[in-house]
Amino acid sequence: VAQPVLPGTLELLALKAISLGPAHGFAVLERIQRGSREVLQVEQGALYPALHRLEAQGLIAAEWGVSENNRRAKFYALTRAGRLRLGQDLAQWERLVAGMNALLGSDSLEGLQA
Amino acid sequence: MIARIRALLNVLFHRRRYEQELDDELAFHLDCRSAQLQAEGLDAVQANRRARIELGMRELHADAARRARGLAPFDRLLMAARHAWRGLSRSPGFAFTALCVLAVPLAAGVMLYALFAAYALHTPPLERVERWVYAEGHDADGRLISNFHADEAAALLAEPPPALEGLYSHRGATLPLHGLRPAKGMGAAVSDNFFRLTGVPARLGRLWLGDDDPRDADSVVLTEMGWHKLFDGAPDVVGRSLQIGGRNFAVIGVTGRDYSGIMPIATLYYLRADDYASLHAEDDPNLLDVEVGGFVRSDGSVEAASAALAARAAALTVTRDSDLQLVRIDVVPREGVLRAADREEMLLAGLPVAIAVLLMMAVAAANLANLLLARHAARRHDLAVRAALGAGRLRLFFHLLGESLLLAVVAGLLALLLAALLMQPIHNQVFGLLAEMGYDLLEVRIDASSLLFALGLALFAALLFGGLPAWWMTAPWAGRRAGKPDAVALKRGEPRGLRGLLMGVQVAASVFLMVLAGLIAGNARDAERVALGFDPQPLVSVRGAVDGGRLAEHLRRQPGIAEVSATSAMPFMRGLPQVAAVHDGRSDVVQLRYVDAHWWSALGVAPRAGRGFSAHEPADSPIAVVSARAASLLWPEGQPLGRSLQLRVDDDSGTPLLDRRVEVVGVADDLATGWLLGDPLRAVVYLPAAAGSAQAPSLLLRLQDPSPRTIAAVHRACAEVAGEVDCNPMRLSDAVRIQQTPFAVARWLATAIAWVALATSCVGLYGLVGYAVVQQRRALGVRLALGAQRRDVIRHVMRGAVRPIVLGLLVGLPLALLLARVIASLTDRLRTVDLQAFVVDPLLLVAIALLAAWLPARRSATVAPSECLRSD
Repeated sequence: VAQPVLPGTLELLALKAISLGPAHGFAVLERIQRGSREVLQVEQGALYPALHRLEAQGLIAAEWGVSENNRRAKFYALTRAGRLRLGQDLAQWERLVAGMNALLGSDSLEGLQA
Repeated sequence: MIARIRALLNVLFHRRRYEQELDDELAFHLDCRSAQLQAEGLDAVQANRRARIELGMRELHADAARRARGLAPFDRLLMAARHAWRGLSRSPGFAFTALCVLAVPLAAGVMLYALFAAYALHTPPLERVERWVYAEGHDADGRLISNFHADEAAALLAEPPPALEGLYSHRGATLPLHGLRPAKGMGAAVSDNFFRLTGVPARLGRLWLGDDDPRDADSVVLTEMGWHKLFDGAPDVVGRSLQIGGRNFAVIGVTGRDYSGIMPIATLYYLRADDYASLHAEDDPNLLDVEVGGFVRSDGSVEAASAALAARAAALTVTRDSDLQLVRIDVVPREGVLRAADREEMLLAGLPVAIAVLLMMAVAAANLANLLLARHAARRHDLAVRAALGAGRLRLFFHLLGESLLLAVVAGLLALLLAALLMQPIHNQVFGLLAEMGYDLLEVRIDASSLLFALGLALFAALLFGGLPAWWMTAPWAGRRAGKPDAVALKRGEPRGLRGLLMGVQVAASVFLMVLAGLIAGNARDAERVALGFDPQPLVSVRGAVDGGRLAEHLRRQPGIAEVSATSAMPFMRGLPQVAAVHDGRSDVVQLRYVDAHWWSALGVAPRAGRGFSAHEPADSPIAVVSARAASLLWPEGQPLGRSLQLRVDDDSGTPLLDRRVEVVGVADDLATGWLLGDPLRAVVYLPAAAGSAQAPSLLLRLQDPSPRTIAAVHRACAEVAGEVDCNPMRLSDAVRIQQTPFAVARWLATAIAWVALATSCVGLYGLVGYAVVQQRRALGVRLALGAQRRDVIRHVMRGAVRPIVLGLLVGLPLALLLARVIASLTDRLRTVDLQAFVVDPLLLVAIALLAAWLPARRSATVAPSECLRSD
C-alpha cells in the first residue's frame, strides 16, 4: 500500500533521485515512486516547492532543455554542494534508522526494562 | 550565503521570466501525467482532468514555490506598496502636499550631511589610512596646541617614535603663483618623505625621492586640481616651470586622481619644506603653523607613540613663549580632512543649523501627522469594516502605516534630487568668499551614503508622522478590547484634541525658528551696516615683511599707490591688545594701536582735533592720539588735548611690556578696524611707530585704483623687495566681508528655514480648518438656518484655528526668549534683544497663520444652509 513520504524527507528523496542524473520534476517524482517500489507516494504539488528550495540553497542547479517527449522542460542536476549535502543527509538518515531499529527491536527494549 | 543572495536577486530582477518558467514547469508536469494516464487507457479529456486533480491547485503550489525562493516578504511589501499607491493616487492633492512638506526638510538634512561628510568624514585616498595619525600638543593648562614650529617639526621628524613608520611635516602655503598666468591658491610645504609615507601615487612624472636627494631640489609636485588650474591640464606639464613666490620651480610630477590634499581647502601644489623655508624665512619661535603627522606601524600603537613623544614635549618647545610651551604631546588618530579639534569646532558650528533642520523636520512631521489623522479619521468607516471582518490591531496599524512609508521613500528620493540640484550652488554661496579669494573648495558630493542617509531620515520621519496617527487610530483604548479593535469604537473615533496639539507644536516650532532667524538677521544687519568711519574700497593691507621699512618706501614709489602706512595689526584681521590707561588717579581699559604718520591720510580721514603724528618725530616720542570714544571715556568733561596719560600693560609674570607716559596731541574720529559685531567702535589710543619696526609690522596701502591689476602690481613690488616672501595683499573690503559673510550666510539659512517652517505650518492650518469645515458642514448649516450671521459662523470656525496659534505662541516665544538669554550669557558680541525678532516677526507669523485659516473658514459661510443640511 502506498505511503506518504515522512515529513522532512522529501528534499532528501529529491536529492537522491537527482543524484542518479539530471531530471525534470516529473521524472524526479517517478524515480522516487519507482525507486521505493511504489511504496512512497509523493504529493505532486509539494515536489516543486521542495525543488525550488533546493535550487535557492544552491544544492541543485536548473537548466532548461528538451525532454524525451520533445517538450521544453526544466532539468535539475546536483551541484557539488548538493552532493556533499546528500552524503551528510544519508549518513544522518542511516544513523536515525539504526537508532530507530535499535530502539524498536524487541531485544533492546527488554534490555532497557532490565 | 552570497550564492543564495545572488540567486534571490536574479529572481527578483527577472521576476516575469521566473513566473513564466514556474508556469511552464507546472504545465509540463500536467502534460506528462496526462500522457501517462492516456497510455494507461484513459481518454484525453479524462486524463487531463485527473492530472489536474492529482496536482491540486496550481496557484497554491506556485505560491509555495515562491515562498521557498524567499520571495514572500518582497511580494507582501509590493502588495502593501501597491495598496498605498492606490490610496495616494486617489488623493493627489494630499500626496503632493505631503511630498513637498517632507521633501524640503529632508533635502536640507541631506545637504547638511553631505557638507559634514565632505569635510569631516571623507578620508583622502591614502595608503594605510586606518593607521593615519598626527601629533597634538597640550600646555600646562590642558590647552590644545596642534601645530609646531618648523624647527620643532624637523626635530620630531629626525627621531620619530619607534611605534610609527615615520613622521612627515605639513603646512599650508599661500604664495603667489604663476603657471600659465598669475593665480592664487592653496599649496602645502611638506617634508620630502610625505609622499613615501602617505603612499599618494604619481599620475604623471615622479614624486620626491626623499632623504634630501639633490634631484628633488627646487621641484614642485602638482595635484590634479593644480595641474588643471595652473597649466590647463597640459600633458607636457612635467619639466615646465611654476613660479611660486617669485621663484621658479620645476614641475616633476602630478599626483593621482581624486587626491586633493589633506586640508579642508584643496591643495594645488606641494613644495619641499626646505625650499619653502628659503622662500619664507621665519624667525619667530611662536609661529606655530606646521602639522606633524605619520602612520602607526602594523605592530605599533598610538599609546606607545604618545608615550615616546610625551617626554620630549618640554625640551622641544623650550624656545616658545611660556604660555605656549607644551607639557605633553599625544599621537591622535586622524580621520578626514579635519583634525579632531577642528571637527569638534565644525560640529559646534553646525549644531545650530542641525537643530534648526530638526525643528523644520518636526514641523513637517507634525504637519503630516495632522494631515494623516484627518485622512485616517475620514477612513474610519473602512477601518471599522476591516475590524469587523477580523483584522487585528497590528494589521490595521501596518495598513495605515503603509501610505506613510511609501510617502517617505518617494520624499526621500525627491529630497536627494533636490539636494543634488541645490548642493553646489549652496556650497558656493556659503563658501563663495573663499572661492573669490582664489582658494579652491573641496567637492561636496551627493553619493550613495547620502542616499542611505536620506532614506534613513525619511523612514524615521515616516515612523514619527505615520506611526503616531496609525497608533492613535488603533490604540487599545476607548472601549477596544486588547488584540482586536472594536469596529464601533473605530467608527466613532475622532482625534480632534491630538490634531489641535500637533498644530500647536508646529506653530511653536515655527515661532521659535522665526524669532531665531530674526535675531540672526538683526545681528547680520548690524555687521553689514556698521559705520566704519572710512571707505575701505581703495585700501589694501599688506603682511609685514622682514624689511618692512624698505618695503614701505618701495611701495610708496610705485605708480597707483597713493599712500602707504604702517600699523601694528592688519585691520579686521586681528583684535587689538588692551592696555590700562591711568590718568587723574583712575584707570580705564583702552585698546592700543601703533601707527605711523601716514595712518590717517591712508584712511582718508583727518584727526578731528589737534594733530596726528609727524614723520620727523621719533617712534618713541611721548605723544598719543586718542579716538573720540577714548577721549570721552577718559575725560568725560572734555578738553583731552594736552592731557597726560600713563599706558601700562604687563605680561603674565607681572613684567611690564609697556609702561609709557604720553601727552595727547590729537583726537581722531572713531574707526571700526577690529570685530564688527557687538560694539565695533571701541576706545583706542594710538602711539607712534615707524614702518618696519616690531610695533608696526603691517602695512596699509591706499590705491588710486583698487583693480586686480594694481593689486597684482603690489604683489610684484613686494616680491622685488621682500625676496620671495608673500606679502599677501588683501583688500580691506574683502576683510570686512570675511567678517560679515558667516552672518550673511547664517541669516540666509535661518531665514530660509524659518520661512519653510512657516509655510509648512500654514499648509497644516489651512488643511486643519478646511477639514473642520467639511466635518462640521451640517452643524454650520443648522446654525445658518437658525439665523446665525455668516461672520458668526466664520468666527466659530476660526476659533478652532486660533487655539493652536495661541498655544504655539505661548510655547514658542518663551523658548526663544530662553535661548536668547542663554546666548546673551555666553557672549556680549551678539544683540539678543530685538524688537523685530520678538514682536514684529511673531505678529507677521500670526497674521499669515490667521490668513491660512481664514481662507477655508470663509468657505463655511459661502454655502446655502439648505445645501449644507442636504450634504450629510
